[in-house]
Amino acid sequence: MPMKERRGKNKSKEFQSQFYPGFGYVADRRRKVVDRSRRLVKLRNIPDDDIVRLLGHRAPGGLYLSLHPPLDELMEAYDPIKELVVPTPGANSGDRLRFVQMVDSFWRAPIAPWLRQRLYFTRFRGVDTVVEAERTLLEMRERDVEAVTKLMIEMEVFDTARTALRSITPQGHSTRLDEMDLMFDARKRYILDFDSGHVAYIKNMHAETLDKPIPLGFPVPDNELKAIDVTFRYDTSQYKSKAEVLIVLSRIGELRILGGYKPDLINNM
Amino acid sequence: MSGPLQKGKLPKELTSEMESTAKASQYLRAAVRALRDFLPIEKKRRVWKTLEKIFEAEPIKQSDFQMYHRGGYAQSPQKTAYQKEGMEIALERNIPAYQQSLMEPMGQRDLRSVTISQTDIRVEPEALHYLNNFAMQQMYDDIKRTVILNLDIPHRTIQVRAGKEVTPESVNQYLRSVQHTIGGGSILLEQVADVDPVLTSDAYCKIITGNDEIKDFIDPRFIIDIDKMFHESKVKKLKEAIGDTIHLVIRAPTIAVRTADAGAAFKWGAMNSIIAFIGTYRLARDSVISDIAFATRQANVVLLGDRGWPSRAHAFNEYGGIPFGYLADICQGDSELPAKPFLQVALENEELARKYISKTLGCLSIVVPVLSEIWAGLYGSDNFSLTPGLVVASICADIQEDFLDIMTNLASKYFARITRTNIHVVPARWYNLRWVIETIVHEIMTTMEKYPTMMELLWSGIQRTFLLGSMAANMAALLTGSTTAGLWALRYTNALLVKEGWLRSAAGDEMVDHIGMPNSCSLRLEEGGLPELQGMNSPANIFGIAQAYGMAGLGYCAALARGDPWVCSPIVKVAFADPSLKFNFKNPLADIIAGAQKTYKPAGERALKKEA
Repeated sequence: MPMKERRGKNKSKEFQSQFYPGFGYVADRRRKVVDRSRRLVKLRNIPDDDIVRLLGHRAPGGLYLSLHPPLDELMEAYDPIKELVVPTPGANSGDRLRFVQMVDSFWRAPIAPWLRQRLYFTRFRGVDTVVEAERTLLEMRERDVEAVTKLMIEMEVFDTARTALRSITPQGHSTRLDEMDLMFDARKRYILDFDSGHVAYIKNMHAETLDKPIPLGFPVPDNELKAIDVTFRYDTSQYKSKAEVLIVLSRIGELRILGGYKPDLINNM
Repeated sequence: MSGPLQKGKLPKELTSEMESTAKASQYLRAAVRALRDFLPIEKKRRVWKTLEKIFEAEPIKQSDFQMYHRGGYAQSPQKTAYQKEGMEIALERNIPAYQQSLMEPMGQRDLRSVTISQTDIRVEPEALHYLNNFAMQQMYDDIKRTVILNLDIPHRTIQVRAGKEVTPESVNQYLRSVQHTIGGGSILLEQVADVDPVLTSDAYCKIITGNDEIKDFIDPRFIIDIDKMFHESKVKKLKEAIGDTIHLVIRAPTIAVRTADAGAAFKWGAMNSIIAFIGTYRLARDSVISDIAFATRQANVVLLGDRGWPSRAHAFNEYGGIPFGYLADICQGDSELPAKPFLQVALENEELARKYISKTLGCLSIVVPVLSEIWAGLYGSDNFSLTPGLVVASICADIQEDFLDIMTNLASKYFARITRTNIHVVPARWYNLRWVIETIVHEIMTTMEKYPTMMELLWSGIQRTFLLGSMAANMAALLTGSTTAGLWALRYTNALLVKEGWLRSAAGDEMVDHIGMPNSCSLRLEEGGLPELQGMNSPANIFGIAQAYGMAGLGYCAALARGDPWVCSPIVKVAFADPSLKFNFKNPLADIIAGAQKTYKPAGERALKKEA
């Protein structure tokens, strides 16, 4: 084949990330949450000051404490990476590191810890995160953490009844729900306000009592939570019927085992 | 607060996928209908009955209407008693002590006593803490104080180097002497002080041998009789494996182990057995003694555990150094069952197969979690608050029993027929195992989803990993007879299967499994080695307390599948078949319950003898 014709054929396609295998709404939800090109739906508006009060790291309107002068004022040795990576606003201003810790109920929370972590990796920058059975810790520069907390509370990945901000005593994700269908919290940081129907935080993330409650909005009802569930469950989306997910998992398992044993064995797989 | 979210309605953009798909909602309704149909079947499960009894409510109810209204810690009689005791201690010593009322009141959720599986006995979780339960401490002490010495080399040294004659009488005389010295009695010098025999009444030595002639001439009080302790089909194999040699099983006094550490048991046993040699054979203090000392305490010694890391568990015989295979050998529940490949048993009789499982895993699921909790609590992180979690998961509320039912059912229904083709185990291939691993994990996950009360009991990710991973590992090993296959199942379940199903795993504790998957076939030491010989101190296993039961269980199940009477060492298997041991390794649950009810009498107490 002459070179002229070959040129057109070998045109390489642009790489497209594949976020999650499988069909059905659970796999779709998982793909949507981690795909930064897809917009998350905004469900509520929370004032900035309320976010600051919920986090409890500084007083609303207070100054940000800094670890170092703003990057513009620093004389640093030349480093090409620093030219390539644009610093986050918090890093640029030299903010200290602060955290937000989210707890997701086992009972139909709109997001779950490992997906939350993947969301952090794909949608945010400058993150440090730890996942545990019930909680996901996110550490960032202070003004960055405030910005992403606002985003996370306002968007569809937060439900006032099944997701919570907790630093101390985060347990309770697998405990039965209370009479208002809220996730159990041994520190009782939030209550359901009967007048407005909103869930209101009466304590901040560290379980320190707030001067006035912060309403975060209506809890999403149970049947609606089922519609946006991200976990496979026996009564909505059965795990054992998810053939493609299981085939991919099995393949990963096999590749890891064989590759760890003798890398040559996975050459033709 | 303002925003687009209205009461009871998510935006169409989010739910449209669900609602526009008629199929999905039909499927939902069908699932709910199916659940209603299956309710009578669910009610027959043993876990339903037990959870209903514990929570005094329908176990599938998702809400707890009494939450926050139960009166805090006061709902637990044990915690209330502790609070009272704490106040008394504080008044007596004038320093505040145990105090529940710090910060916000804790314990607003349901704090209930739990039922021990297959019994009606209810205990509070406090009673299953290893420091409150003396039987658990005694179990660990009995393991720590066991040292096994081979007597062939010292006897040969006495004959060759010292020129003394070894006869049946002298051997019996030696065994009588060693019973005296092992309790702290002096045999050589009258000036030295003796130990009060009441304090060391649990110290003794016994003989293991595979030779019937040797057994005949030794005083039966000093023998762990293989013929009596094991099923006849196992006796022959064990005797052949042990052979004509004589092993001396030393039980150092519990008080010595508790005063120092497990390393003391080795020193204590070695020194006192040498002194008994000196006394019996009237040896002078010449160079022969050093040869006999070496022959006795160094040349051929079986220690249960190797050394751990220097900063903490530095001695021999501590849990970190004990191979998982030895832990399985320590369990004696299955001694009286015939040595037969498991699938053959499952084909003949499903009930008997279930009994095999109960006797093996039922025993192991007490020994390993208790030791793991001591490991995590005292060696790993000190007063780790999860302490009774694993024991609750393994022996309470019939949860594990229910999963073992599923396991036996799967094995006998789908795999037992393979034995008709003269194959006793399923070939250990990934695609043979994938289906069964996934099936059992899905079954257990489904059960947990169905029963919110069970999830409340298993409040930590470690507890769920402990059950899910070990069930899959045990199942794979039980079918294939291969520990490596069991390891694949354990790693695959914890690192991938459960995590991707619920997007939630075990508080980072599945880290071992992520690293362990590529290492699962490796015999290189830095990557773990043979599964039976791995221990908590193997690379990456240190904090994998949830995996320890699976790791020990897969060895046990593989031996069960092959019909082998022991997992790792016939000597350790026989050494713990000893009925004189303080802790009952044949039926550990009975002792643990006695410990929980405060009726268990441990050894090594300092205040046993009242001064006259």
